[in-house]
Formats: sequence, structure tokens, C-alpha cells
Amino acid sequence: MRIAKTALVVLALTLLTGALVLAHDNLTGEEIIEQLKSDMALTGSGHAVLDLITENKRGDRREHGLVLFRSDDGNTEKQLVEYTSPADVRGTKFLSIYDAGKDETEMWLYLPALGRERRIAGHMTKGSFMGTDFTYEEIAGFSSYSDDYEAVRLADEEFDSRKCYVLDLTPTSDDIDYSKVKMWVWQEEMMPLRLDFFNADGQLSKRLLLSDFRQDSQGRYSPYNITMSNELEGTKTIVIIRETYEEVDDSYFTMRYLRQ
Amino acid sequence: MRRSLVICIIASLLLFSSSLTALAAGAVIGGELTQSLGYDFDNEEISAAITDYSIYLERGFGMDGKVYLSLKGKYNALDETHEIDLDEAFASAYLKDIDITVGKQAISWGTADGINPTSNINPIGFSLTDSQIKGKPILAAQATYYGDNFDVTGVVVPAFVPLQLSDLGSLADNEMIDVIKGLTIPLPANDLSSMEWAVKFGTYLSGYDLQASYFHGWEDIPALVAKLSIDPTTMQPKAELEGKYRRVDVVGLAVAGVLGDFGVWAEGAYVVPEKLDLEPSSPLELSKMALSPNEPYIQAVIGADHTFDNGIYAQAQYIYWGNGSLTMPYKTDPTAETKPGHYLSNHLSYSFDMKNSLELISLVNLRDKTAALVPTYTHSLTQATSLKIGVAAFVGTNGEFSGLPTQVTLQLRTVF
Repeated sequence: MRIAKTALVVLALTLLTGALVLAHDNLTGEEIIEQLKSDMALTGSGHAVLDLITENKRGDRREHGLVLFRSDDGNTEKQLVEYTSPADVRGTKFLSIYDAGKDETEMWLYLPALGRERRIAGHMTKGSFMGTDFTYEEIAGFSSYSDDYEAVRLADEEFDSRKCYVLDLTPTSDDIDYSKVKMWVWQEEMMPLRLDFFNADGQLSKRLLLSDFRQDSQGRYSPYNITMSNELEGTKTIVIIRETYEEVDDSYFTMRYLRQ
Repeated sequence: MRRSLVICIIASLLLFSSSLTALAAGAVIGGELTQSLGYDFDNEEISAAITDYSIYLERGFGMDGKVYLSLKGKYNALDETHEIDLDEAFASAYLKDIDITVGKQAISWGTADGINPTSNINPIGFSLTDSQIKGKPILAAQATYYGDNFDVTGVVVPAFVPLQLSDLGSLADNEMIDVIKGLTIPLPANDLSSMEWAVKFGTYLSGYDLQASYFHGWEDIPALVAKLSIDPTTMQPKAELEGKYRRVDVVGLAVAGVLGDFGVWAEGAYVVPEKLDLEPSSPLELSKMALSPNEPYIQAVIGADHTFDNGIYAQAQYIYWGNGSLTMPYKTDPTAETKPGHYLSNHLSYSFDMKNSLELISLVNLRDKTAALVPTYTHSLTQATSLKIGVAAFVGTNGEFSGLPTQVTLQLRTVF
């Protein structure tokens, strides 16, 4: 009797798991992009100690140490980047506040040599951030792909020894610089592993690779190495995450902290 | 008695040194070393061979405060002079809603780029190329209260520090400066009535940063009066210059924000200098004429910047200078009327890659159609060391920037 009951439970579990797997496999591109986990070390709320390495086409490197503070309550995305090295940019702080309701980003840059903050024009969100391959927009938080792109699922592939969904993303707004983005999503964790960005001419323009995934205390995976390559110019920016903390004080996202 | 005094001194030194050691632990120490070589093309001579250096120590105490100390030195190889000075030395305490900073410090206000009519606390000269200059640090106490969407800053400067005439700027009239250097001009008395103070209110409104400020202090440089009198011994007419430091009140307004793809800013000040007494004080005095402005005037800057898709950064500012020249604050002809200065400044920069960048700074005097142009190429030898070559060229005739020699500057800078 007991065995029969156990067998029934196992059978039910098997059926349920099968149904879940089936449901997972039947996901559309839009459903996958909706389920993308955004709790990467550079998104969500918390703070992180990073190394930012920029490399030119000859392989020359420039390394920056920085601390990144982030807060995201779903309506307002705040971010403060504070440079700790090298010496020529030490103490430089960059504050950005994105208001989702107004779809506006306000940005201020504090330069120690100037001794006060400066407003940064919104246009610079499209420009290179401190000479890196990331745009101001990208460093201020990865764009909301479900809002900005229409996703079509392609055949699954394996990438970095992980089973991946492959998505073809077409921008839904003229504000997006790319004509198409191809995204590889780790099926098990619903996390992007690779993004290929194509320019208006259809050329591969940039490639973003996320690797060195580590689990936090709640079992969530985050990439600790983020590499953006500019495929046209041969340059590369590597973000190595040294430490992450889940707590962040709201006082970091103020003019007061910017000036201190 | 003598022994106890020695013990006291040694104990104090030990305590002080242990505090210094504790302070240094966890502190950031850095600095820079710059070697500049200037060549005057017109006179075919080396015009500058200067070694500048600075070293600083900064110790932060998280959200509680910080201590900052820096030294600056300069060696001029042409006249073999060396000067070293305490640059900044201050302590900051961050209280619940108030940040307090006390010590020798540079306080920078305003929203414009490089030329700030509302930034009057620290003595500051004019520089074409150093747009990040904060002015000469002075002893001051500063407190800022942070409210919900506003901040109020109060500054007290106990002792007035004038601008050294040698710091007036490389474009100033050197002959005039030499004349002024020969004058004996007493400084204001070091008492409470001579203190300087300033307040600033800042807020954020409809996407714009707004600042309103008021400064009550002294002009950085002495006001000059040309006096024509009869020499009582020879009974011949005699012309001489008189100088005095005088009070000034400055009401300032500044705004910065974003308009479309452009960063925009405007900054203006209404300057009320103490009126100079131009009445002859004796029958032998024939006339007195002011070489400095003797009526209230306006200084204003309005500007915008934009970064193009190809990475070129462009900035432009229109400058209205109610007291005349931007580079020389005195009239050379005392009978001439003070005409406001109108200028256009531009800054273009482009980084080819992480090692090479090009910059062009220009300042055009719109009234006399002369201009100063400073193109600069910078090459990063390593992450910490850069080599810069720049040219200062002047175009136009019979104006503020005409007749100045073309200079080439080579600069090697290491930051650590």
C-alpha cells in the first residue's frame, strides 16, 4: 500500500516535471525576455567593487577601480559610480537618476579638480562612458529588453557549455542605436550569457559576454565578468566584479554625497 | 622645571606622531609631477622651464567626515627660484543634515565652465587653459545644510587673502603689473570687521539646478586711482597711482540643466564695488580718476555643450564682462570710458583612442576682433604619464590678444 502510494507520488511528480519542461520548451521569445533575470551584480539594488579595464585594438590596457552603488525600486533607478583608481580620475563621481514614469535620466559628474558637480547632457547617454565601450546608458543599467525590443525565438544552441535559448531582438523604438540584437539566454537560470549588437548596416557592432557566474547567499547567480567588445573598432571593456553587497544606503544618491 | 618641559614636548610629539600614523593608516596618498617647457617663437627664446609638483593625503571616515592635506611646489629653472606652499588643509564633519568643513580650502560655486562670476570666495586669476581651476585655497569655515530639495551654504573667511599680481594670468599687461607692484598698498586690518562671508541657496526645479548667492568681502586685487597733482616742492604737475583694497558685494544667480541633447548653463553676478573717493582732497590735487570700475556692473556667462555621435565634444560660452577686460582688470587710459567686454569661448575635444586626444580652446574678443587659440595634443605614455604639446597663438591687430608672442609648450605629467 505504502509502495503504491509512493509510486503514485513519483508518477505525479514525473508528470508534473514533464509538463513543466514542456512548458519551458514552449516559451515564446516574448515570454523568455519577460522572464529574464535582472538581478545581476550591476543591476538591482546594492553596491559592488569593480575593476573596469579598457583595451584598445593594439592591446594596450587602462584599468580603473570603482565602487558602484545602485538602487532600483521599479520606478526610479539610481546609480552612483565612484572612481578609486587610477590617480588621475580618483575621486570622480558620476550620479544618474532614471525616472521610469517620465522616461528621463538626470546625470551629474563630480570632478575633484573642479570642486563641484556638473550636469551631463542626456545626449551623452548614447556616448562612450569614460572612454569605455559601454555607453552612458549601458553603464547606467542594462536597458529593459522587454520594453525596448520585440523578441523572436530561434533554434536553441549551446554556449559556454550551457543550454541556451537564442533570441532575435528587433527594437521597437527609434531611440535604440541597433538594428538587431541576438541574445543567448542560459535556460537553467534565465540569464543572458551573450548579446550580439548589430548596427544600422546589419554589421556586428558590439558583443557583450557575461561569465564567471557565482551564487549569492540566496542561491541566485550573477556574472562576475562582463566583457563588451567593439567588433568594428577592435576595442574591449572588461568589468571584473570584486565584491558585491546587497545593502545600499539611499544617501549615496544625493548631491550631498557627490560633493563629499 | 626644564626637564618636565622637555618631557611634555616629547610626549606631545609622540602623541602627535601616533595620531599622524593613525591618520595615515587607511589614507589615500597621491600627487602629481609636471615638467613644462615653453618656447617663445617671436623672441626665439625659452620662456618657461618649470617643475610643478603636488602631494596630498586624504583620509575618509565613511559617512562621518574626512581630513585632507596637500602641498604644492614649483621650481623655476630660468631664475632658479623654488617655492613650496601649503595648498589645502581641512577637516570635514558630516553631521545629520549639515556638512561642516574648516581649514584652508578652495570653494567653487557656479555652473559655467572655467569663468564663474558667482565664485568669489577664493582669489582667482584668469587662465585660458585651466578650466578646472578652483582658485587659491584660503582659511575658511563652511557649513552646508541639506533639506529635502534644497541646500543652504554659509561661508566665513576670517582673514582676507589678496590675489598675487603674478597670479593675475599670463595674458595680463605686464608693464601695468610692474607699476602696481611698486605701490605700497595696505591690506585690510585683521579684525572682525574685515571678515568676508557668503551664503548660497541651491535647489533643483523642473530639471534645472538653481543657485542664488551673496558675497560680502573684498576685491581680490587693489582698486587703482590715477592722481594728478602739483608737486609742492617743484610746483610741477605730477601723476601718480594710488591703490587700495576695497569692499565688494556680489549677488549671483546660476542655473544648469539639459535642453534636448545639449547641456546648458547660465551664470550672472551683479557686482557692487565700494565707491572710490575721486574728490581732490587738497588744492594741490588737480584730479583723481579711477582705473578700476567705480560703478556697479554685471558679469555673465551663458553656455552650452554637446557631444556628437562621432565623439567630438563641443562647448561654447558667451561672456559679458561689465567691468571691461577679462584679462586685465584696469583701464590703461584713465580718461577712457569703461566699455563692457564681450567674448566668445570655445572648447573642442576629441579622443582618437585611449592614448591620443586633441583639444582646441579659443577665446575671441568680440569687440576688438582679436583671439587667443590654444590647440593641444596629448599622448598617454602610460596610464599615469602623459605628454602634452600645445601652442598658444594670438590673432588680430590692435586688441586685447594682439601682439602677444606665440608660445609652444611641452609638458610631461605624471600622476600617482
